[in-house]
Amino acid sequence: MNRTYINKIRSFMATNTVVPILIICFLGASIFVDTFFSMSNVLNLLNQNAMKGIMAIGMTFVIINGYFDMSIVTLMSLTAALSSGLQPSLGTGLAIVVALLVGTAVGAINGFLVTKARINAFVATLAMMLGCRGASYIYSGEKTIIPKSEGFLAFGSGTVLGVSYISILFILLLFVAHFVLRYTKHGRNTYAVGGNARSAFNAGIDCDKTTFINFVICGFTGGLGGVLYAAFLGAASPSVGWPDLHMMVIAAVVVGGCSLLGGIGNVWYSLGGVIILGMISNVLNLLNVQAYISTLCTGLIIIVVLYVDRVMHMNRKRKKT
Amino acid sequence: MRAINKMGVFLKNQVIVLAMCMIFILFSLLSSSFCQFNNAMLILRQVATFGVMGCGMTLVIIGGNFDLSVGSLVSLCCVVCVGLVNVLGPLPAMLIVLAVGAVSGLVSGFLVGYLKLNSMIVTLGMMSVLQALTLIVSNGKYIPLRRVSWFTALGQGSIGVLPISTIIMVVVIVVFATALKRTVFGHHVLAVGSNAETCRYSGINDKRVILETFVLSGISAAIGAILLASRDGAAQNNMGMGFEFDVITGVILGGTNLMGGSGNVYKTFVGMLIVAILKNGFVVIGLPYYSQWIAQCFIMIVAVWCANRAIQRKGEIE
Repeated sequence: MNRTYINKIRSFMATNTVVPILIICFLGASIFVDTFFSMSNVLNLLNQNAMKGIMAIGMTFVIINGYFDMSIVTLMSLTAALSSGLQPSLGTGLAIVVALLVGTAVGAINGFLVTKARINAFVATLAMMLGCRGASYIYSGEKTIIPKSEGFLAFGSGTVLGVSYISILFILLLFVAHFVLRYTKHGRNTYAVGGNARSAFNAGIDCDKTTFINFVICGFTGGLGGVLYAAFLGAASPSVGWPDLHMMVIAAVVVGGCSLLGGIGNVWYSLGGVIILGMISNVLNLLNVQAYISTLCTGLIIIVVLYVDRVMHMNRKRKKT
Repeated sequence: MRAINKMGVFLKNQVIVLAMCMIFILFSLLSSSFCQFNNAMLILRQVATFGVMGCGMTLVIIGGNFDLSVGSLVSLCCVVCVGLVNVLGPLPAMLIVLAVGAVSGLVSGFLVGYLKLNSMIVTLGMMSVLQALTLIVSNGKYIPLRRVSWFTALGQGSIGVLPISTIIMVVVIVVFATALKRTVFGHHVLAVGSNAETCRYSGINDKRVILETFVLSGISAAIGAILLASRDGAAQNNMGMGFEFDVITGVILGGTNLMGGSGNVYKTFVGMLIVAILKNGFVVIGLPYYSQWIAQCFIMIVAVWCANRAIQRKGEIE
């Protein structure tokens, strides 16, 4: 009885490699860094990474589908600029709606280019990345835009019991995304298309539609990320996140254990990946490490986690055969 | 008739060259100062770094991988190069810089080739590592070139009318193109890119080939950095920021297959020229420099779309 229980845990750990990695990181951080294990710091960790997490949710859909979206972060800077710059003329509510619509539209363009024009997803989203970046510089005229609405800023900085509104939104979206991926037709189709597009097509799944919807979802989360970013920081500058934040979002999803080849993963993996990357920078901040040593460590740890993940996957494969 | 058909096929293969000419003519019509000898030489100088980096990137992409670390590698190499030229003199400094590039390529090549990690994420990790090393080496400071030597001639001088950096770039491109087309190594790269599994069964050491492509990419980035440092006469720690995207854009415009297996170094150069002409042209006709990104976006989509349709049509005829 006891043994089957242990075996179950072991196989769970082996399938969800992000869990043991997360536990090791968390324990290591708690033991070696005094100030890490406190309620306020852990909440801080969540609050700081909520926006990245929201974008990672959208990215998870696209990555499970077997593609990835390079444009998400420049899209974020564009929608951040739009949602703050349009506030005086359109009013806060409408400005947010416009920003979200722009995000969705860019996602739809990505989806169209990938499914209908059959352009390699890397190229299409790279092109859109440049396009959004140009648009965001042109719109903001290279200036930082300050959102004027007080309610908007209050939403960005407000908290309930230490958890920011943005984090609550993030957690809600996690459950919604989990539900969509697990219990809806679209979610199951996403796994099928990512796992093997040809057999999914032969089984009668509309692959193009599934991919298109996933890119739209990703664009929407990019737009939402931008709006929240502007609200959180109280400023929107066109250079935000350039050049490596979108790679960090992809890295978070992959470090969490979603396969870049598609078909494997869920939003909890992405949550784990976001937390791992966030924890690294948090711990290095607490240790008062210079910013560039912290960049160095982030790079090294991404590589190490990727390697550990691979080794664990290999072990599992060997056991199976 | 046959001659016309042949001509048609030839033109179809050279769409990217025609596109470049059209963009050039367009800018010439828009601004009288664009189509001038000095400006053309300026574009050639500007493209030198990217042209050299594109060679290495083409090999990596043909091998089926990506190298996103080249931009940060250029920053690191520039800082090391200028710092060492001040201390050791040009020649030893340049050799050390080439070694730095090779070692960086060796590390990412080992991780991608031998440990089979995803190249995008690995080189992203390398990007952070190299950025950090740049800051550590330079201490976050701007390093000017203090010693006057022939080093500055590499980027600033010219032989006759041709800039020296352009000549170096052409030599590098010819060497890489010949290596890809005419040597066993080049054929191995093409083969590994199209199907690594088959290569392994036919006795090609695919891990080593991938490692070598990354080393070459590192070396080409180092050469690019030397040209850039010499042209600017100084080094900053964010000099190469975002270069990787420009270089990848050029390679894509050049028609290299992103899944690996086919590509052409000369066409990559044409792609790089398009990027450089856009950069220069938008500034010359007085638009803000960032409008080039939107143009790049459209040109990339249109170029790949056309290439796809050409491939589809070919499939239908066959």
